[in-house]
Amino acid sequence: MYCHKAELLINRYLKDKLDTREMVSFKDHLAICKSCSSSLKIAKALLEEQGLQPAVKAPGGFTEDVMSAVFSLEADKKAHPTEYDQKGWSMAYRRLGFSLVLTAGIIVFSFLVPAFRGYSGVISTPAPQNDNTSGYIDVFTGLDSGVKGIFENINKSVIDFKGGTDNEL
Amino acid sequence: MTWKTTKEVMGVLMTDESIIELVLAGNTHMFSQLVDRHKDKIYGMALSFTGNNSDAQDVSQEIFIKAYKNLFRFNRKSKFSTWLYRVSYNVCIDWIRSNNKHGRDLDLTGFDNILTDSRAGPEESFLEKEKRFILKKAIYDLKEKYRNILILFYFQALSYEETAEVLEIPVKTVETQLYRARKQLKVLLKHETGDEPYVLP
Repeated sequence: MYCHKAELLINRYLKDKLDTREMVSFKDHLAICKSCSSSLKIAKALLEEQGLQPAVKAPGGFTEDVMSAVFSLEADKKAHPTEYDQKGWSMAYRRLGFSLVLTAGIIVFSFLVPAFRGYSGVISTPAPQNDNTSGYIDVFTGLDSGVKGIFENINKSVIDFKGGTDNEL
Repeated sequence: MTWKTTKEVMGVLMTDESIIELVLAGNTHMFSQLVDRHKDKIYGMALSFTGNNSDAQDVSQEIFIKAYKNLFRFNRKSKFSTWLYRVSYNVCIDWIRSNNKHGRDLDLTGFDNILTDSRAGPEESFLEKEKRFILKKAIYDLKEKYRNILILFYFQALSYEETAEVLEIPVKTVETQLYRARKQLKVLLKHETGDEPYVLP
């Protein structure tokens, strides 16, 4: 048995949880290894220390003090419900996160899908010189026409599927 | 013969999980049953980390208040006591860090009591008591990670599994860290006593 293995078995040895084979190997190793023997003594001292610990008791009135704080907390919750609405806040964050992901997804989708008509115009149009404002306006116009284009395609697909015209819908 | 109130009898008969259900349903006063059941252990844990009664009282109250606020997060995958230990551990660590407490800064006054502790019996020699004091001092001189795991495993008497849950590490890692903690302790004790190995009676 190597030292590393013996060290890991020390606590189980002290709690009498080694099987027969492990016990024999462990004791044989201790007989020849000074380092592991001293580790065993330290572990034994720690366990003995645990047994010698005086029984700790919480001070008198402890529960009353805790409950006083808890009741104050409850009173504050009733006075300011939204601040403490843990589940409500968690749902709100989830909804916000979902909205952000959806918006980001639409924007990324708009840039990546080549069939998205509104964008081909934006990409091929050279950036205006010395006029950043109109450049940004073009991007947003492209976004807007891009989104419009998606819904037009969807609408067309629905009409085709139903085999009718827009007027009939 | 003392007559217990219905509430007290109910509290004694109910499991922690049942009491939690009642508390979450709005029966706030039932939380006192949980506090009564676990206050000594939690106070003991806070005392192990803070080293003095005054701070231990503040920290242990903070633990229960935090537990109350987060009771809805208890998911019954482990025992309530283990979950409470995890909350306690986190609060104690936060306290140590926010107060910039290191092992050597901890008030070791409580450890002086070891030298006069009569619990071990009058036959325990002063020399043996002094060795215990040296051992405890060395524990508090360890790195935070090693000190904490020794406190949890030896002084709080948590099992491997409970220690693993509190520290949120695998059981095998608990074994490895205990081994490294003892190795560090050996070095410190040798430095302190000039003795190899640390001699026990």
